[in-house]
Parts: sequence; structure tokens; C-alpha cells
Amino acid sequence: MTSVRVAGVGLTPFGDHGDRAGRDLFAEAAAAAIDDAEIDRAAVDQLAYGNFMGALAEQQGHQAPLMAEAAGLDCPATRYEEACASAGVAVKAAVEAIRAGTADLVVAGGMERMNCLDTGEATEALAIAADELYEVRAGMTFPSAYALMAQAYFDRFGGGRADLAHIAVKNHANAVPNEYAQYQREITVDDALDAPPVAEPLHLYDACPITDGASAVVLASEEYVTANDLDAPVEITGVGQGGDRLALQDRDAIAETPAATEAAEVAYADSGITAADIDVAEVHDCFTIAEAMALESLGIADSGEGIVAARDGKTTPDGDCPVNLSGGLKAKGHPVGATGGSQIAELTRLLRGDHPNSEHVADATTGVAHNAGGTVASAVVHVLEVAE
Amino acid sequence: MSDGENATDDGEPDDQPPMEAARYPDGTILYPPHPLGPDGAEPVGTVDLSEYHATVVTWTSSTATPPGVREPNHLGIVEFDVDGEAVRAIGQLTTDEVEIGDTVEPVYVPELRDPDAGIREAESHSWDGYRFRPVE
Repeated sequence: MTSVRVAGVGLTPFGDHGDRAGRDLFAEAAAAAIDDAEIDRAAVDQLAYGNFMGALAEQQGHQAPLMAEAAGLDCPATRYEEACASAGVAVKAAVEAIRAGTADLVVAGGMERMNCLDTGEATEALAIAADELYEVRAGMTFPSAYALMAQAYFDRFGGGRADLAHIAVKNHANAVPNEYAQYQREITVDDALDAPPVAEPLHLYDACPITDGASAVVLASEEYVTANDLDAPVEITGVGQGGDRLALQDRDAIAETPAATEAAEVAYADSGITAADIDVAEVHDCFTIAEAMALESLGIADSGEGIVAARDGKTTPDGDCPVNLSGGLKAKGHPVGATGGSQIAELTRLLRGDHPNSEHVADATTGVAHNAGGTVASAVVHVLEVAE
Repeated sequence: MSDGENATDDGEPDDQPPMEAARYPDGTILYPPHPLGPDGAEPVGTVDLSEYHATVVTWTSSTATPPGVREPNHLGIVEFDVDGEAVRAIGQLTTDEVEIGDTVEPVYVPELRDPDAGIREAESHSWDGYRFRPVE
């Protein structure tokens, strides 16, 4: 089985792109990734594209061939939809295609437009990732779903709003030098604590913003990299996906994310690493509590300890395992169908040494990306390593 | 439901639908009913959860609600004990005067949110259901 290299990465700035069409955003990210990889567009075998709410935001279905066309690609294209993990599963599909020998060169990533909807509409559009008949009918939104998880977490393990605030403060600080981040500004613990409530115990700074943006990565087989003399020092050595019942009420675990634990176990076994090997991670902090639970699923923190990891300095830039040096979904932004691809792009930059925050992980060789859908009914974990 | 057809004068509905859960051969109860239960077994019966009390597992009060949803919207996940078998449900709470561990009972509501607001398709399904009310 061939190894899979990240040959190039590209992002649009994350934020409010006004009336720019989705195809325009993806074209920008794909062009950047293709330029970064220094490949010939005509050689691309497939496009694996993630998008979640394009049918509601732009009334646009069948997006994959449209995005291929916008990116100047003439190849089969498939859209992957797994809510906020859409681009994560798209990247996974690309890795598997290269490993299977059905492709040598694949562009993967995703795009989301959200600001063309007002906040209420965007909240409703996101909520279609939950169970319409039993969760959404009761008025459940994702902020309230994660609030239910947070209350259950506090009840079981302890912790409180101040612990969540430290997660937000860390991720905002990390975003400051990141030119792609939506919020390149610091906040304080008091800012977070004093912000208006969204769904108790989650307040405004516990939630990621509404974001437009696109991500793309060029993945290539090791043979292709060698034959074409590409500079691709980062390898995707492990992929794993986990699943759970869609509705939160239908699970045994509300204060934990077993689908992410499963994804991590599969990805670590695939790559041959253990959690102790992880030098840096990008995790799906759609809400601050989600970062705490992600760390526990990934084995970066023990059960019940994820909530204090930021406060204790374990996951800060100078800690044992810096988490979300990009700013995370919280401050970099969360264009939902693009996020999984952006995590691979940011982790690649961090490991290559060309990310504004690479200085904090100068000796890092192993990184993990954790991308989740819904209340983690879907989860994808990728292991990235610096190739020897 | 403005014609009073589904509610009597004291506010108690006279023809409310059951809060239906499914029972499987190994005793497991699932809400909502799933076509297949543990080990792929088909359901062997139903249970009307509206006849049982439940315990609050987790809850929140959402202040940023989408179109057609009451604000604030108090929401909880509760766990029923049906003769020793646990089964959970999510639903609106009648109040925010509640704590994890409190006992609640289901109360029927003809419309949980306005189906004509926002992006909803009013004809796609029914909009009634149960709220959970603390038991004194």
C-alpha cells in the first residue's frame, strides 16, 4: 500500500465573503493548493469535495462537478456530506482512493457559505444535521445540544464556565497571527464570562462564528511525488472514522463522544502511533465544551481532564501538546463543509514549518486532526507525520 | 388547535396520542421506536411513556432560538424508568425551575413550535408532542 503525501494546501480567508459565490471561494482555495503543490491540473484524477448546507444557502445541489469546473479540473468529482465533518470524510475518501491504487493525485477539501443567511436561518440550516422529528421539533439547536452535553459533563466530571473560558481565550490568542482566521483578536477570561448567554452554560464566546470559506489539499501517492519531484514532506499515515446514533437522547454517553474515540483508535492503529506520540492537534471546537470532549476521545487528556487542559497550560502554545494553534473553529472560523480540509491544511503548515505558529511546534513530527459532525454522531480522525 | 378538539377545559387533552416507545425481545425499550433493536431484533410491543415519570439527566435554557421556537426554550434530556428498564427522551421543559435529578412527567402540547416560521415545511410532519413538567 502506497503512502499518501500532502503535496499542497490552500485556504481562503475565513469570514464574511458577502455575495461571493461558493464556486468562487472553492476555486480560490483549490488554486492556492495546486500552486502550493506545483502540479499540473490536468494530472488530477479525482475531486473529493465536502459541503453541508449548499442546497439551503445557495439552492445549489450537485456541487461537485461545478466545483471541479471552477477549480479548472477535468476529472470525476464527488460531494461528501457528513454535516460539519463533510470535508473530513472527503479527505478520508481521497486517502483511501490513493491507497487503493485507483488514483495517484486527488484534490480534497470543501466549501461553505453561511453569511448569506441571517443568524436565525443559519441556525436552522445547521439544525438539519440533527433529528428533525425528535430533536429539532422540540426546538433543539446546536448551541442547545452542546449545552446539554456541557451540563451533563459538569454534572459527571465537574468543571465550569471559567474552564470553558480558558479554551476560548487560548484559541483566540492562537488566531492572532493566522492570516486566514476570522477573528485575529485576543479576548480575556472576563470577556468570555461576561458575554451574553446562548444556551446555559454556553455564552457567546463559547460558540464558533458563522463563516464563509473554502479549503483544499492536494494529496498524492508517494510514487507520484517521487516521479514528479514534488516537495511533500508531510504524510497522512492514519485515517479513522467513527459513528454513533444521530440523536443525543438515543445514546448512553452524553458527556463523552464515543464516535471520536472510535475514530481515534482506528486512525492510531492505522498509523501505528499512540496518543503519547501526538505533538500537536487541530480539534473540532465548534463549542468550547467540544474541545474538552475531543481531547479525551483523542487520549490527549484523561477522562474528565479535558475541561482543565487549557486552563492548566497543557494545550496552550508552550504546553505539552498545543491544540488548535490555527485558532480552531472558535476563532479561525467554521465554514462547516470546509472545516475538515482546513484542519489538514493548517496541520500540514504547522508540521512543514510555514505556519505563523510553527515556532511553537518546531520539533513536532506527529499531528492529529479531529473533525466531527452534529453532536459527534460522525467523527473523522487523521494522523499526519513528517515523512522520514 | 384553536377549536379545543384536543384539549378539555382543564387543559388536559382528551385524545392525545401516546408517547410511543418500542419494546424489544431482550427487554430493551427505545424512544423513538427504531425499526430494529439490539441484535437486529424487531419490536415486540409498545410502551406509552406518557404514563410514566422520568428523571432529568441534563437540561439547558436556550435564549438564541430560531424562528417559530419559543424564547427562552427550556430543553431537557430525561430518563424514564419503565419497570426497571431505562429509556431516554429529549423534550421541552415547562419551566427553568428544575435541576438534574428532578422528577418530571410528560404533558401533551398540540404545537411545540410554529411550523410556518423559518425554513420549515409545515406539511412534512406533525408538530405536537410532549413537554416535561416537574412533579411536586
